[in-house]
Amino acid sequence: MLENSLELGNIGRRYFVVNSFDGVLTTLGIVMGLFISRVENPLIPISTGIGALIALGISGFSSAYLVETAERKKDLKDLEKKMLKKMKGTYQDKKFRKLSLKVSVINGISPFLTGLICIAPFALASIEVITMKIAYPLSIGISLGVLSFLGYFLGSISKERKIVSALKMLLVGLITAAVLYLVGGI
Amino acid sequence: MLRKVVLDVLKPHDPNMVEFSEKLSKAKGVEGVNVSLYEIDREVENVKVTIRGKMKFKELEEKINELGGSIHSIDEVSAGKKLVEEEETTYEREGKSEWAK
Repeated sequence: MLENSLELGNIGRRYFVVNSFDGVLTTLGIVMGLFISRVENPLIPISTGIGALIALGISGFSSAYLVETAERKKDLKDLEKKMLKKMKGTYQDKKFRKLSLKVSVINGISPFLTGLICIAPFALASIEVITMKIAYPLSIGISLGVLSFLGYFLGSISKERKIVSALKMLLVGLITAAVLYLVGGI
Repeated sequence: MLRKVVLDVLKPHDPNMVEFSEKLSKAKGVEGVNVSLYEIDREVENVKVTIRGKMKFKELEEKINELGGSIHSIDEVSAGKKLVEEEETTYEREGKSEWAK
C-alpha cells in the first residue's frame, strides 16, 4: 500500500490525464463560445485562453500540492506509528515531499500545455498564416484530437482496447461541443 | 574504530533491502554490508544487518535513522586494529557435543 503510494508514475499519470482533460475542455468551451459569438479577432481567443489556462495551472498546482501534502503527512504519521519513532528528515519524509512537489508540477503544467496546443491555431491566425474561418474548426479538431490521444493513453495504461478508450474520450468532447453549441444557440 | 557490527533493525518496506543495503554501504568507512530478512509485517520489516569496514557507530546509526530504520539491538561488535571473529568457549563446545549425543 505504502510502496504504491510512493510511486510517482501512478499518481503522476492520473493527474496528467485528469488535468489535461480539464485544460482541453476549458479551451474547447472558450473557443466554442467565441465561435458562436462570431469573434473575428484572433487575439481574443489567445488572451482568454491563456488567462484561463494560467488560472487552471495555478489552481492545479496549489490544489494538488495541498491535497498531496496532506495525504503524505497522513502516510508518514501511519509509518511513525508502525516504526514507533519520528520520521522527520528521513528518506521517507524527503521522498514524500519530492513526490508531492513533482505531482503538483505535473498537475499544474498539464492543463496549461494541452490547452496551449488547442489554441495554437489562433496564434497562426494572428500572424495571418491561416484565416479565422480555418482557425476555429482547426482548434476544435485539435481539442478533439488531444482528447482522443488522452483516451488512447488511458487505454494503453489499463491495457484495454486503446481505440475504444480513445473513442470514449472523443465522445465526451463531441457531447461538450454539442451542448455548448446548443446553449450558445439559445 | 569498529570492524564488524551485527544489528537487528526495524525498517519500512521502502527503501527495499537492495536500496537499503546499497545506501548503507556508502556510509563512511563501510567496506561491505549484508542485509537479511528476519520478519515481515504489512508496512515494516525486521532485518539483520551485518556491516564490515572501519567505521564509527554514530555514523552508522545516523545513516540507518536517515533511511527510516531503527536499531532494535546490537547483536555483535568487533572493534580494534584487527577483525576478531567470535570463538567458541569450552562450555559451548561441550554443550554442542552433549547435544550431538
